[in-house]
Amino acid sequence: MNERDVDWQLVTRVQRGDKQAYELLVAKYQRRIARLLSRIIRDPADIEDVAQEAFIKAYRALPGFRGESAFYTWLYRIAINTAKNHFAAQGRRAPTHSAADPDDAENTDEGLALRDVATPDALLLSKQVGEAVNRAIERLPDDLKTAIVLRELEGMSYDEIANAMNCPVGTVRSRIFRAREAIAADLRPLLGTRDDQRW
Amino acid sequence: MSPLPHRGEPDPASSDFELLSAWMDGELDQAQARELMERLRGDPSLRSRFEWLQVASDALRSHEVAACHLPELTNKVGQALRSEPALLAPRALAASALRRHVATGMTLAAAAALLAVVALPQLRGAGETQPPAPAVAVGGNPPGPTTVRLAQPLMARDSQLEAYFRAHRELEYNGVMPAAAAYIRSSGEPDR
Repeated sequence: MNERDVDWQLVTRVQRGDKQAYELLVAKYQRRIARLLSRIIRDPADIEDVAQEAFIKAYRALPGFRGESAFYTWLYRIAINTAKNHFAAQGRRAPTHSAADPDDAENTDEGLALRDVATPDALLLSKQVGEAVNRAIERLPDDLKTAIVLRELEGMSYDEIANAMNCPVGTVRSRIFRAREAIAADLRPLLGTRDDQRW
Repeated sequence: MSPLPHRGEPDPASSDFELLSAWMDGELDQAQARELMERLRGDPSLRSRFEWLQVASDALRSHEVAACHLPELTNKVGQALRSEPALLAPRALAASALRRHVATGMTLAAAAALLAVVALPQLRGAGETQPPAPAVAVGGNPPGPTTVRLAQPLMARDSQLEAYFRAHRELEYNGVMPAAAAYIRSSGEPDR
């Protein structure tokens, strides 16, 4: 199995009527979709509404998803189209790049301009998240730090990490989990809600 | 949502959470993954932990992405899904797709068998001047040998081949070559 297989497993469960499996896909991809939308839509409240609408549209369209592409690639297109519809419903045009803007072509998607103009609040939060992650990594014991960096930044499999670190795969699994737990614990005060969520 | 344990605090469910972390990385086998997903259905704390392990993973790859976390979104989508019908149709679609693939495969196999039995021998004999049919020279009948055609059709038949033809006839209209189906059928029929 790989990460794509995990998504496909969740997708097939949703296609068989398991709605909770879809919530796991939302939990997994909501930040990437919100980040994408934040580069198109300026108002944070609109970003959340459009993200929610995109996920619901994707759920309804899921019977037609056959796994020819990665789930996120498919979801990404739905989010882009939902953003376009959002602008159309408001009688506004989605921000697009003009033809005289060839240097920005790589930052466009289907004619939409993907800006990197974040609000001051978003910039501050992003900076705080970066600092929290760095602090958490600094505090990790070396073996946990190495394992999580090889996994998340180098994209190595557990087998490859076990070979590199000369330890059993089970140890790698445990180290990666403990590193993630430590980082999540530092992020939760920044990104969680005051009241516990439903989960 | 169950809070994350404080540092140093023993966590009795940590082995499940460890499995969850490995599953995120695609490092569980199919059976383990299925079992874990079943547990996820009935365990809100496990689902909560999944989300926070994902936040940590995202933050390591991009703090800008992690900063876009919408803490209420998963909850809101979950609530909205309650009024949505459960998706059940694709199962039937998948089954019909499987049947279609099997039917196509059998049709192609039948067509290949026909090609081997009918067309290839004819192609091999196309350049010969002598009739391809078995001939028997009968002595004492000048001026030359008498050619005797056998009453049997040229094509060898056996019960296995007949079974192929029957399968082909049953499935030919589901195949990928509907236009050729009639021709293939007439070629495969015994001479009338």
